[in-house]
Amino acid sequence: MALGRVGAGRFATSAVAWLAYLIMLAPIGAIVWLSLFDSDIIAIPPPGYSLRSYQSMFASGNFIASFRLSLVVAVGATVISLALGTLASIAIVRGKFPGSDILASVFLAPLAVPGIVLGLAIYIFFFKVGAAIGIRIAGTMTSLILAHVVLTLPWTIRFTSAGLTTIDKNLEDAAMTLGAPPLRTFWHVTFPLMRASLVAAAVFAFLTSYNALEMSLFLVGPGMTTVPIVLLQRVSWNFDPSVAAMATVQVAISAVALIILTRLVGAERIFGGQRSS
Amino acid sequence: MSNDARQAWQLGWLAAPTCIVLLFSFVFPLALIARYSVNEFVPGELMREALTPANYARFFTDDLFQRVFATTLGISLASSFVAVLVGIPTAFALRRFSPRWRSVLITLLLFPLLVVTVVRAAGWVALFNERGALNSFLLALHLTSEPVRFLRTAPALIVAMASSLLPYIVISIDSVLQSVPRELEEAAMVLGAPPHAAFRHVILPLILPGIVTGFVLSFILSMDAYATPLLIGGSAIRMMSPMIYVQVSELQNWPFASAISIVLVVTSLVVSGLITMAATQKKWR
Repeated sequence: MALGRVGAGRFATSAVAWLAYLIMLAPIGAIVWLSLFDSDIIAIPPPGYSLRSYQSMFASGNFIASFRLSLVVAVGATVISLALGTLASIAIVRGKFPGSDILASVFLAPLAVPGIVLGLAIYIFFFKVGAAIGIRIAGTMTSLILAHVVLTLPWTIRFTSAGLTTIDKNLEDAAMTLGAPPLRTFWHVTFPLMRASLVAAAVFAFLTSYNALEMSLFLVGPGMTTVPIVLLQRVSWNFDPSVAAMATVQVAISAVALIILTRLVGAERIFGGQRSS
Repeated sequence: MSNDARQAWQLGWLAAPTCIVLLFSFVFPLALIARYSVNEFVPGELMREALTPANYARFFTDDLFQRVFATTLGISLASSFVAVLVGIPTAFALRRFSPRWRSVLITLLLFPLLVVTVVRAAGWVALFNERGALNSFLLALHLTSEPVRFLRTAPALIVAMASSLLPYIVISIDSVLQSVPRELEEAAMVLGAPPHAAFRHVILPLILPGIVTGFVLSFILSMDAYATPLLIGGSAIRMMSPMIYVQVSELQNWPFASAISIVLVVTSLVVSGLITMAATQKKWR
């Protein structure tokens, strides 16, 4: 009888697990499905299936402009935050100075602040500083990239310092004992060894910036919007299959990023118990 | 100081550029809105320097904002609770698979986390719409004679939010479950303990830390949620994050938006601290 209960318990947990996967993946599946409708409106069941919505997406100047802006901002933020993050990681992993542990946790602090709050704070600060020195900062691409650097830095620091920790410091010491200057040692010994974690950091930073919504809300302006904001506006005002096509492109980018990350750091270590968002 | 120690000390300077960037685009901005939250809002001229608790008082006394505050807390707690209820069995089910399948399922679990929230919320809109997938399905099966209104209802919002919290819950429970032997639960039941007692007295105390971590993380993430409440809750169920945006974009009320921001951050921290304390002090055995 007790074993019968075990069987029933197993059945129940399996059923709930299927339900969990269903509600996690159903909205993503729905978007991909919608993007294939051969129709100008979302009507279920659709009259047929085609790639028409992708054609109208690529024909829309608005979409293309936001794609381009999102790409430029994401690449800019990734490059800057990868450079800053790598330097910061070397400092907190290899350096020994008072307060290095505190600094390490301060570097992760932006993750603990809601995106909308950080976005508001940066917008007001940039606006005020811009007004004080007579240069418009808020609402420019520079401000957007800087804000995204703040958003991606915790992740690049996390990935690169995890990579650095696994590198045997003796290898660096050996190179330096043999007469290599520190910079040369970094370039020829450390850098190649941490390549995997650098690529993972870059992929994650790119995706974080490309997906950033709340952070950008205040900093974008007319004629200068990123993809997630265009999506938000179109879903609430004019949700048609071409919007679903645009969302499907986001899904595809995320899928590619996930595959790269799983190969490089392993599925279970991508988030490592820390928050994203 | 030895040469090595000096070098290790000097390496610290490599963190300087990051510190400067964070100072100017994280620390100063947050300090500025904390200061502005006690300024006075004057329609037409943005704001006046002051040291007034008026913005906070307004948030906690005005009916509309009291409701927004209660809704934000209620929806966040409910979504996290639903996610935990669904997440615990899911984490248990995951351990029955071979390592190969397990890693496939973990990867599938992470996938929604990487897909931007607005896309997932859009998917829920497509499912929940008056003429959406769910209603077409219900109508086709004659389970309902006219479309059911899902959008702008609390249950729909809670389902949508819980679905995006599930991966975090499952991952954090899964990480503590690794140290619980699979046979433990079955042993308790074979010895005559009913399944709920086996779970309550044997398994739950062991996985509680994972549940608490997952719940607290979920709670904070739901408190911060922006796109999902906006698209699913709409004007009927209003939460704090969208409210902050409205205060700035429509009313240019910086002091009030700053005050709501501070309340949001402080509430998240205080409530998650209380949950952690309550969970670690309570005796579960």
